[in-house]
Amino acid sequence: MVAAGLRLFREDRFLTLLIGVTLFARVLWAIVTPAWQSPDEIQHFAYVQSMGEDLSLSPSDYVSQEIGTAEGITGLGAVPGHPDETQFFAPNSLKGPDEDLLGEIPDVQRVTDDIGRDNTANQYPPTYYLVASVVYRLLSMFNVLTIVLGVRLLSAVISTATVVFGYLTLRRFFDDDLTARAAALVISLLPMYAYMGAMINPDVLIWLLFSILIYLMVRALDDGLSPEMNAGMGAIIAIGVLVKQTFLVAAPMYGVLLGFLYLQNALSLRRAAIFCGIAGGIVFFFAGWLYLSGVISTETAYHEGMRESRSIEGFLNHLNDDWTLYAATFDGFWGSFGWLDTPISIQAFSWIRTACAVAVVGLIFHAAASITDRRPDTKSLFFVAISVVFIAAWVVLNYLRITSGELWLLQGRYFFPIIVPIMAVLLRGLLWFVPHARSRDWVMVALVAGVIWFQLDAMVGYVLPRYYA
Amino acid sequence: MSGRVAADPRLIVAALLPLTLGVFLLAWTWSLVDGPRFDSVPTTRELFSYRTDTPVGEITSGVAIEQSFLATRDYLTQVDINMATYVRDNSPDLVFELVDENGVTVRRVEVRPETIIDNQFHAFRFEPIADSTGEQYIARLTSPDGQIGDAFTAWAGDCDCYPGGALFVNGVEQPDSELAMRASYTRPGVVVWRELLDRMSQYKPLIFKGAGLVLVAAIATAMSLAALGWVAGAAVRRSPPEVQPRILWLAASLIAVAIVLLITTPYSF
Repeated sequence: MVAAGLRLFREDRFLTLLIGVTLFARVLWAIVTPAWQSPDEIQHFAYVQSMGEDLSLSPSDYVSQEIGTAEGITGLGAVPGHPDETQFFAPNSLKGPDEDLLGEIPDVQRVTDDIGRDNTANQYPPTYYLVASVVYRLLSMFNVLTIVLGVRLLSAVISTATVVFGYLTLRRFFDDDLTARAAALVISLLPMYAYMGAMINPDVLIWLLFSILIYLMVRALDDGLSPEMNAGMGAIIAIGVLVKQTFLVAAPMYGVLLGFLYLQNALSLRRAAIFCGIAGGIVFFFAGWLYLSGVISTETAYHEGMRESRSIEGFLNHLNDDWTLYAATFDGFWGSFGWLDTPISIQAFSWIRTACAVAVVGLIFHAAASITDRRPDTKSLFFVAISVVFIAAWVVLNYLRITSGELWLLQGRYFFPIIVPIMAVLLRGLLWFVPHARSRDWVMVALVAGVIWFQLDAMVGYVLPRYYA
Repeated sequence: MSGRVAADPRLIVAALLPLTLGVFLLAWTWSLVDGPRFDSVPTTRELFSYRTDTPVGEITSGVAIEQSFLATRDYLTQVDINMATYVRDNSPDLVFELVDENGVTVRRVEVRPETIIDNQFHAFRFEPIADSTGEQYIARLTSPDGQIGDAFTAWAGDCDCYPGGALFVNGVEQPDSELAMRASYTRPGVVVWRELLDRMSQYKPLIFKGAGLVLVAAIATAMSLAALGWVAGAAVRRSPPEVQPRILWLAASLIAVAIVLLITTPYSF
């Protein structure tokens, strides 16, 4: 496997550049974003800290006093949800006010409850946090903000690996190096994706696992599904649900793959059933018992605040009533930073929304044309299918949560695990309008230039003023 | 036969593209940092008095609260005054005026009532005054629609905490009393950049402070542009030779666009 990896790097030198671009973009986001200013980052860090300190798989149910003290020293505690607040600044200095005090916070505060602050992340399985706690231990002699940055850099490395697998998938999808490379760069530099890929969050590991899974699925569509590959997919799903419960959505996506292989006559029903059983067995063996035994739990049960009864009709009414909220959620996929109070420019949203609409139209025509030509574009149809399954699952989960009396759950960033299929089919649709192959090359070049500008504008035009002006 | 290898003009185009974008991004970034979004980057904040012992009384119609002060730097851009609401929702607008030694109002800011938070410094921001050093100013608060029971107040300290100025209520000096007030100064162009870099460096590990942060940003940008060049190079190489002249025109037009963008402002969203 190592030899194959090295051969890949030798054959495709662009891969090295892609890794550099992706990694450094994320490192930059990790540095410029003040500590704990991404969604729930404080909770996720508290989980990592708890495991790093206790060397236990069971996280504490509190946020440590050290975090509260550091927030007090830096002023960062007042920033979330208050757009006019920033951290404290010292004029003409590279050191913040009282920065040295961060190193003098007593170690005992790392294992002391910051009164009244629960750690809501402790409902998640421990896999990501276990990995991150290794970095925590390695950096534990430094102050807490240095450790935060160190754990963020781990996220940057993980999400760089995610983009690499995304690129390998795109190479198979587009059958054209230039388009695949440009598409990978567009994904890599999409500001919201780069930003979230540099934060402390189990989602970065979820994205990596989805990225590998989707790559294996595309390989299966090309080369057929081997027993080894099938077992690998089962193992990835098992690891995925040990990272976050929502990885279960990969199971119906795997079902879609088997369906496509069956329709392609690449898999018999009997063999599909056997493969399904093996993959399911692997998932159950590694992860299922943890759920069934209650060690890890997830629920969408009714609570006292239930607002409406659950039914098909209720679900349709929900979609009818809240479709504008869903539209805003999908917009959030392209950019919504910090504690979700710093969006990118409205004009940029408008341009992207228009481009997406054009791309969807192009995709429909492309799919229709490929079917009428009796050369159906299987991979596009497959990507659309798994995207629909993924998004539909989240919409249903959102509905279940709301009818349980909970608040709106869905955010645009929740679709990042399938960013490669989404971007691939959107680009396929967009390029349908460009008849000449050479012109398509320049469209892709323009998109790469555009996303480089987009990232810079998001960072300097919106995120930096939010936190530093 | 010549030993020289002629440079492929198409590859020159591929190199020009990221260079052009790089120049454009630099100009774009400069315009953003030099623009209104970073106006509130006060490089220096000067505290006159922080004490909040007594409210100065309701700022109703006809009442003027004034605090004189001496500006010690150029580019005075903001005055913060600790305001209070009497723990109620007041409805009248508040007017902040900056008056110079000759009694001329040089800056005026109208503030919506909902933006004033009880017992918090409120920032009255205005266009920077370039040559403010050594100038004596009066910060004046009025509220033409204020009424008893529906008006704001400001906090004052019972002290002569700020020898450079005095508090006046309706023109009458209040001995041993100062508004809880501070002033901020900004600086233009490159100095704002420097201050921004300082701020981003604060509370970060040593290797990512100052030059370290600039290095990471430079590498990230350079790699992105190099990747663009790679893709553009591939696109150029695949273009048939007969379209070369068009490609050269394209390169020329890109440079022209970059020049136009450099000499025209603004171009921020």
